[in-house]
Amino acid sequence: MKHLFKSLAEFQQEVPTIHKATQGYGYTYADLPKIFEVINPLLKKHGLGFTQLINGTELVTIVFHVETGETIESKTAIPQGVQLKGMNDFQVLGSAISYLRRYCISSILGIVSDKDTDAGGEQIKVEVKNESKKVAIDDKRLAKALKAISENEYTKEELLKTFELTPEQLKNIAQ
Amino acid sequence: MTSPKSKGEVLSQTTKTYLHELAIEEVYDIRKEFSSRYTDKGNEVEDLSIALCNDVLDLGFIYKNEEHFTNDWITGTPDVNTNEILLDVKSSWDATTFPFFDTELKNKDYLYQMHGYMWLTGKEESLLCYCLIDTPLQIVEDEIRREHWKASLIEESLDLRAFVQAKHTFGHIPKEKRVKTFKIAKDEKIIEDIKTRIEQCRDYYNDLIQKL
Repeated sequence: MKHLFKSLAEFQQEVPTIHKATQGYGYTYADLPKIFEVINPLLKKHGLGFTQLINGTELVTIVFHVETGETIESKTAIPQGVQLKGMNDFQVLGSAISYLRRYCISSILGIVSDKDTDAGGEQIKVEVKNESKKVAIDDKRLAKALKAISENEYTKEELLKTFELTPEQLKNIAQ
Repeated sequence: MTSPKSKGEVLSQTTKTYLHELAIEEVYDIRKEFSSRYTDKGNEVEDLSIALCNDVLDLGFIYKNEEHFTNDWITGTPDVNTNEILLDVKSSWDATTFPFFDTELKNKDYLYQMHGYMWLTGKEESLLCYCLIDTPLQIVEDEIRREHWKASLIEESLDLRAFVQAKHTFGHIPKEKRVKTFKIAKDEKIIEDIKTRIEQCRDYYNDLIQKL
């Protein structure tokens, strides 16, 4: 296990406090995508990986050393029979798993991710991205767009630049 | 632009405050950033709102306008500006802020905004469309954290999570009910009113610049 422990210790030296600031309230909380975004490059750097398996009613979190195959793991029971207003059984299960995954991976890697009490800790803020990106278009709207193109009110170039067309839609346009 | 509350006042306090910030920015290059969860949602779901309008309204193809318009008085970028249609979307925060029952446009700021766009584009009428779109996951997660903080909860409450998620999910409402459209015809009096107010703002702003 010495390789895994050495790499894990080195990982812990580098990983920052993962801090998600909520405007105006000072309450900090890191969600799963943010945790992954921060830890994945560092895990790779130190030859580590992890997986989280749903095994019956347990969430099994395994951290492994890529080269040697050394592993450590934790098992956490997934609450059963919880009823939540407005959510079906699958949504309840999804929420519980998401919640547990966040805490289990933070715990096994020894990272601080839930609360920022250390003013010296590096804070990584998540900002809402406004970058322009292509959006999907359904067939009904695409038909309107093609009609607009045929009437010279819109262009095929603008359509391709603005929307993310499916292969089928692209095929239809090409015809 | 908001109206003054007291008689004799020309500019509202909100307008003055904005002009103060603008003057500080101009002279000292200190810019005040503005964003809120409401504007964040509006920006994030804008494309979905336009798509929803395109789906349920009897319009031709409408799409996001990228052209920025300006004249000697105002500047702006309407959400949609095709040959036929001038349209702006307002993505409501949740069902409580969506005007299900309104029969006329209550927010007069939007009346002025749409007149600005009509003035800039030369269109004679415009559509203001309120849309009710699911709040993006990231913003819902922020809300869940905010509600936990307000309730002094450290451990996550799945009940609270479910409550917030339900408040921001609208798939069970027919899509036709999730768009509320107000048609606004151009009124030259309002354009003249905008011009008058801009003149007042310019005077006030120039005075501020002298004082800094």
